[in-house]
Amino acid sequence: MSWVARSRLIDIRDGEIALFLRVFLVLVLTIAGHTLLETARDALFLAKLPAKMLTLVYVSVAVGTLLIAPLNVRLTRQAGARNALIVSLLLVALVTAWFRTRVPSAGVVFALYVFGTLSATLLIGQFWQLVGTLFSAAQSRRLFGPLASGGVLGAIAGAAVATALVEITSVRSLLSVATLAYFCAAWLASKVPLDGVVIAERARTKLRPELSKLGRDPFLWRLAAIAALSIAASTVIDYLYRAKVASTLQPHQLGAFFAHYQLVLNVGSLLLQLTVTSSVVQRVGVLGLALTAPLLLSAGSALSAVSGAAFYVVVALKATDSAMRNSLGRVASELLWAPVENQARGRGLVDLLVTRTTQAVVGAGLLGITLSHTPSPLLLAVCATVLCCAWLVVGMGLRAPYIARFRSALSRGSVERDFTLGELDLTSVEMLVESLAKPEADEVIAAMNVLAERKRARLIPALILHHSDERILIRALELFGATDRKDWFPLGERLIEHESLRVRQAALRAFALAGVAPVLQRIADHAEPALRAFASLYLAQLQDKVLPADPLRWELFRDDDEAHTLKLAFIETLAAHPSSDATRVLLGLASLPALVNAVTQSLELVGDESAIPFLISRLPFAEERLSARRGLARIGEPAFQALRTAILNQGTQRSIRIHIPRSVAAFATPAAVTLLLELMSSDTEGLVRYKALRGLGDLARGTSLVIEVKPVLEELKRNALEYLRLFSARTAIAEEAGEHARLALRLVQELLDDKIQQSFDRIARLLQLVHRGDDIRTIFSALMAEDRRQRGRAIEFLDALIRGLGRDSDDVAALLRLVVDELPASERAQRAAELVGVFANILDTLTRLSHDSDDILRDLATHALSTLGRPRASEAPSLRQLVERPA
Amino acid sequence: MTISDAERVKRELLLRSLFPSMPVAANVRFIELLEDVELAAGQLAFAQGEAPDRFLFLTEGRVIMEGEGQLPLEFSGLAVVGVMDAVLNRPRVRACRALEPSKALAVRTTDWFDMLEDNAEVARAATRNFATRLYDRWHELAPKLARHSTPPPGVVPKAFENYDKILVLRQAAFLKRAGMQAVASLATVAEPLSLNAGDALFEANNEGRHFYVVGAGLIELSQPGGFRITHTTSDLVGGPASFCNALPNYAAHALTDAIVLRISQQDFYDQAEEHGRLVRGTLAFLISELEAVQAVAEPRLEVNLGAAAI
Repeated sequence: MSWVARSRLIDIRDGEIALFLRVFLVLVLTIAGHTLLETARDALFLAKLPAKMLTLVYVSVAVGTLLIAPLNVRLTRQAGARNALIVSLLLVALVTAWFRTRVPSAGVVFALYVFGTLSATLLIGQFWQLVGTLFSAAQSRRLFGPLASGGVLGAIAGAAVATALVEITSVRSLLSVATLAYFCAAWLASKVPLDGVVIAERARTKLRPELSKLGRDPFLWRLAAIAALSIAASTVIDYLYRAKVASTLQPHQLGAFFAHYQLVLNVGSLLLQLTVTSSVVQRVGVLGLALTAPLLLSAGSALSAVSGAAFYVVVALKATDSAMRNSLGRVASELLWAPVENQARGRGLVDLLVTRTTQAVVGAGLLGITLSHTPSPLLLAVCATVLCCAWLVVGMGLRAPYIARFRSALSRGSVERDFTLGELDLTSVEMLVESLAKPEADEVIAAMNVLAERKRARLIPALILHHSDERILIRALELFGATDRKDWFPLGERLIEHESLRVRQAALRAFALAGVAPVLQRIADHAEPALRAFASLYLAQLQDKVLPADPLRWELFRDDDEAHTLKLAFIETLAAHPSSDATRVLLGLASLPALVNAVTQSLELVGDESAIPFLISRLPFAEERLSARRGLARIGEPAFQALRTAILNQGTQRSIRIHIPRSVAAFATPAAVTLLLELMSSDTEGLVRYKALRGLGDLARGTSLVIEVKPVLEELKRNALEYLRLFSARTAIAEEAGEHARLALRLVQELLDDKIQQSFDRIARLLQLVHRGDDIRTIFSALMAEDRRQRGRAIEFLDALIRGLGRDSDDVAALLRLVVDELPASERAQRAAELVGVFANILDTLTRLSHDSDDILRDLATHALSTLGRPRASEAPSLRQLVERPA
Repeated sequence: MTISDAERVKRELLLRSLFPSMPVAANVRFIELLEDVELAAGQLAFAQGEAPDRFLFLTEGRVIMEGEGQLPLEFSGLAVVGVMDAVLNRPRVRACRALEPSKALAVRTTDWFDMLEDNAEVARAATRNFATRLYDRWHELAPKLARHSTPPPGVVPKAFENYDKILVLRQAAFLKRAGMQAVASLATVAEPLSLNAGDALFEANNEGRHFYVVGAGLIELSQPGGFRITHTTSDLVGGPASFCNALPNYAAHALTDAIVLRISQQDFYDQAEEHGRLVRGTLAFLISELEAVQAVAEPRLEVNLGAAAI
C-alpha cells in the first residue's frame, strides 16, 4: 500500500488506509446501485409520463423527505451513524427488489422515481455523516476528495453495467443489479469499525429554538441559504434538462441515452475528481472550493440562456450540476460543516428541513406554472442563472463567519486585547474606598494605587494622613504631592514633625512636588539641618535659579547618608519640577553609580533632548531599560532618529543594539513599524531580528497601527523553511542516532530540538502580527492537543487564516501546512526535501550542519562529526564522566 | 473572557496586595487570566498526583496541602497555593483541601509562564523575589546539605573551550531546563577564570553583578560569621544568593586548582528574554533548593513561600 500512502495525489497515511478503503468501497457500491436505479427510473418515467409530472415528483420528494427525516434522525441516534446506514441500505435493497417485481404502470414508475430520489438523499446523507465522525477536519481535507471519487467510480461502474445491460435486456433488469449492489454495500458497511464513531446526541431537539439559533448564527444561516439556493438551482436545471430530453428524444431512445449519459458524465467526473478536486482543495482552500460550483453553474446557466437553451448546452449544464454535486460540491459542503459543533443537529435541520422545504416550494412553483402553460426553456435558464448568482453572493460572505466558527470551536475565543485601564463604575469605587479602611497596609496601598492609576486619586481622603502605618503615609504623600489638590496641606505639614525620618522626608518631598513655596519657606527654618537645607534647595529649584555646577559637591549633600537618601529625594523632586538645567544636574549626579538608576527614572519625566545619549546608554540595564525607553519615547522624533542611527550602525555596542528594537516599539508610530519591519527582515544579528518581531508584537497588541503584511509573509516563509530544514536534519540524525550513541551527537540533537521549537514559536508570533484578534498561541497549543479533532480544527483554522491574506499567501499557506500537518517525521522530511534539500544520512547531515551559518550549531556539528570515526574513549573522558553523572 | 468592573477591581486589589512590584500592564493582563474558585469545607482543590495545570490565589478561608510522606502546609489569608509543583512541572506532591469554606482565584500554569516570557521585568522580579524569600533559609541551612560538605574529587582540564563550557553549563542545576540553545548562548558569553588553589574568586562587598559556575575544581563560599560551603563542578556559586543580589555578603576562593565560568547577570537576563525556558528553569532551581533546605530543616521552619513566586 505504500504507493497509496506516499502518493501526492491521494494523501493517505499509515493507520488510515484500511478504514479509508472500507468506506470508499461502501460508497462505490452505494452509488453504483443508485446509478443503476436512476437510469432505470429516468428511462421508465419519461417513457410513461409527461415531463411536467416531474414537478409533482419534486413536491412529493420534498414531502417524503420531510416525513422520513425524523425517522432517520431517530434511527441515527438510536443505532449510531454506521448502523443507521446499514439498516437503510438493507431497506433500500429490499424495496428496489420489490419494484423489480412490479409491472411498470404510471403509478409504479412515479413511485419508483420518488423512491429513487429519496433513497439517494437518505443513503448519501447517512454515508457522509458516518465518515464525518470517522475523520478529523484535517483528515477530511485530505481524504474527502479521494473518497468522493469513490462515488464517481461507483457511478461509472453503475453506468457501465447499465449501458451493457440495456443492450441485451430490459431496463427493469437494472433494478436487480442495483439490489445486489445495495446488499454488498450494507455488508461492507458492517465492517467499518465502531471505534471512534460518535453517536449523535440523544436529547430531543425542539424545532423553534433550533431555527432561532440558525437565524442568529451568521455561519449557519449562510450554510442554510447556500443549501436552499443550490437545491433550488439544481431543481430548475433538472427540470430544464429532463423537459429538454423528453422533447428532443423518442421514448425508445431514452434508456440508451440515460445509460450513456451517466457513463460519460461519471467518467468525466472521475477525471475531474482525480486531476482537479484534491489539488483544488489543497490550493484554493475550503472557501474557494465552496464558490467553484456556483461560479461554474452561473456561467453555464447564463450560456444556456444566451444559447436559447440549446440541447447540448443544457445537457452540459445538467452534467456540470451533477458532477459538482457529487464531487467538489459535496467535499465543500462536508468541509464547511467540519467546524460546527453538534454538527448532526444543525446539519439535519439544514439538509432536511431547509433543503426539502425549498425543493417543495420550487417544485410547487414549477407545478403551478405547468398547470397553466409549459414554461419556456429560456425562462428556466434565466431562473437558474439568478439562483446560481445568488448562491455565489452568499458563498462570498462565508469567510468571516467560517473563521469565527473555528475560533469558537477552539474553545477560548478571541483574545481579550483590551488591556488598557478602564473607567471605574460606582460599585468598584465603593469597593476601593472601603479598602482604604482595611487593617492590612498592603490592601490600603493597593487601593490607593488603583485609584491613582484610574485618575481617581481625589477619592483618597486627606484624613488618611492620620494613619498609623508609615508605608501608607509615605505612599499617600507621594500621591498627594503629584496632584493639584490642597486639602492635604494642613495634615501634611503636621507630618514634618512625625517621629519617622522617612515620613518627614516624604512630607517635605510632597510639598516640593506640589510646588508649595510657603510651606517650604517655613521648613527652611526647621530645627533639623537636613530638612532645612533641602527646603532651601527645593525653593531655589522652584524659582528656577541656576544651581551650582557639580551637584555632588553641593553643601546640601555633605551630610547625606550611605544610602544617598537626600540625593535620591532631590533627584525625584527635580523630575517633578524640572528647571531649565535639570538635565545637566541629573547627569552630574549620574556620575555616582548608586544614583544612575534614579537619574534614569527622573530623566524619563524630564523629556530633554540632551538626555538622549545617556538614555540610550542605559538600555542594556534591565532595571533602567523601561524608564530609558519611556524617556526616549517622551522626547519623540529626535530620540527616534538617534535610535535609528544607532541600530543601523553595526559598530554600535551589541548590548545596546539588541534593546533598540523594543525601544523603537515604544514610539508606537508608523515610522516605528517601518523600522521594525526592516530590522526583522534584514538585520544581521538574530537577536535583533527576534526583538524586532517582539516589538512588532507589542504594537500589534497595543495599537491599531497598520503592519504591512508582505514582509511578515516573507518572514513566515523564511521561518517555515528554517523549521523544515532543521526538522529534516533532526530526523536524519534520529534515524541513525542509536548506532552512534554519543554525547556529542546528543548535544546536536538537543540544539536542533531547541531551534526547531524556536522557529515554531516565531511562526506563531508572526501569525499573531497579521491576525491580531486571534489567540494564535492557543491555536498552536491546540496543535499539540491529544484530541485529534482539536488538532484538526487548529490546522484548518490556521489554513483559513493564512489564505485570507491574499494571493501572495498561498505559498506560505502550503509551507505552513507542511509544518503543522499531522505527518510522520520521515514523511515530513521527505516532502520538505525539494525545499530544503535532502539530509541523506547522519554523516551527510553533520557535514552540512558543520557549515551552518549558526556558530553554535556549526561548532557542535563539527565536534560531533569528528567523534563519529573515533573510538568513544577519546571523547573527553573527564567531561563525559561529568556530564553523564546523575543530576 | 470578560469580567465585571467590580470583579476586575477586586482582583486588581488582590494582585496589588500580593505582588506590589508587578508592573501595571502585567497586572492588568494577569487579571484577565484568573478564574473564580469556591471551595466548601473538606472539598479538594486538587488531588495528589494530578497534573499541575493551574495554581490558586487564596483570597478567603483556609486550606491545607497534605500528601503521603510530606509535611502538611497550611495556608490562610492571602496566599499562593500549588505553585511549586507547577514550576517543577511534576504531578502534585500534595493534595489541597479546604479546611473551611474558602475562595480563591485560579490561573492556568501555561498562562502564567507565557506572562513571564512576555514580560522580562516581571520574570526578573519573580526570580529575585523568590530568591529573596528563600535566601535567609538557604543561608541558615545550606551548610547542612551533604552536597556542600562532601567535596568530590575534581579534574581540572588545562584548556576550556566553548564545547567544554556547554558541557558544564548543561549540567548546572539552574540551567537544566533552559534548553540547549540557551545553554549554548550562555556558553559563548561565559568567561572562564583559571584559579590556583587559594586564589580568591571574589571578596566580600563585591559588585554582585555576575553569576559564577564552577567549571572544574572546588570553590569555597564563606562569610565571617562562620558560614562555609563548598561548591563543585557545575554548581552555581552562592545558589539563591546570586539571584537576589546577596553575593556581596560573601567571599569565595578556590580550595583546589579550579576553573570558574563567569557570566554577567546582564547577559543572563538578556538571554532569558530570548529563551523563556531560562526563567522557568531558574524558578524550578530555586524551588528545588527550597525543598532541599526544607528537607534538612526543623518542621517549625515550614512556611509558605508561594507568594514569592511572582
